[in-house]
Amino acid sequence: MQNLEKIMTSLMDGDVQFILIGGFAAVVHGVSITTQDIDLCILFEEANLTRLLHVLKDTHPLHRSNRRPLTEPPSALARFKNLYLLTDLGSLDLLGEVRGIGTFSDLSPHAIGIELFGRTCNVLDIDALIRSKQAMARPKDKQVVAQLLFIREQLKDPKRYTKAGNLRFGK
Amino acid sequence: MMKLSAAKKRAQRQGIDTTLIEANLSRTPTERALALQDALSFMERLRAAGEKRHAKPRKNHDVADGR
Repeated sequence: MQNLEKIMTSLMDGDVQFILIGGFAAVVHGVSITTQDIDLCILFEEANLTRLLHVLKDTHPLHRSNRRPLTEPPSALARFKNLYLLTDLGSLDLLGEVRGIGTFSDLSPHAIGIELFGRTCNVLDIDALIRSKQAMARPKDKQVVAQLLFIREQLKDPKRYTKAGNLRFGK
Repeated sequence: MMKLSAAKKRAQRQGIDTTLIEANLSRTPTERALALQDALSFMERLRAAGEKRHAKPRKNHDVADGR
């Protein structure tokens, strides 16, 4: 059974270096959509991949493309550009690069710490998330962009700050 | 304030229910994530119910009886 909270907390507790992007990041920012997979930009380096594999070891991770078990060692995975996985806890899209922005290093200046499930999660900020969605330009991304633009405007109004607005959304 | 109204109008022109977004903005990020998780769990139950229904052999009197 899908368990988004458990995947996210396991990754954070396991010190995996990642930035939350995509639909789930949009939800965290307030967008009203339903998304079934978690998109993360991760550092495709051996040490980080070792930590990732340790977190996933009891979740029976499979490559989504061919449903084969994830058996490659971190040294081999470090040569991958992306990993699309199916685990007992849900689907994970692990990207080394985000269209419209770049690699993990390019995204890092645009990541903000958001309190999520009692931990601090690095989430792509609204401006960068808009750019990435605009770069994808699929019909569903256009809907998300429109919502993010509305949210960005709302958050500029101090009279409308909510408990979520106390967090440092945007710059 | 006019800028906010313009953004709202633009969103609504694209068919977006801005009241749902405003409701989301009154929740913490964790609450939003948990609401998504609940929605996904609910979707799975709906899907299972649909699969079960579609797999069930239909009898001729089902529709007439409202079943």
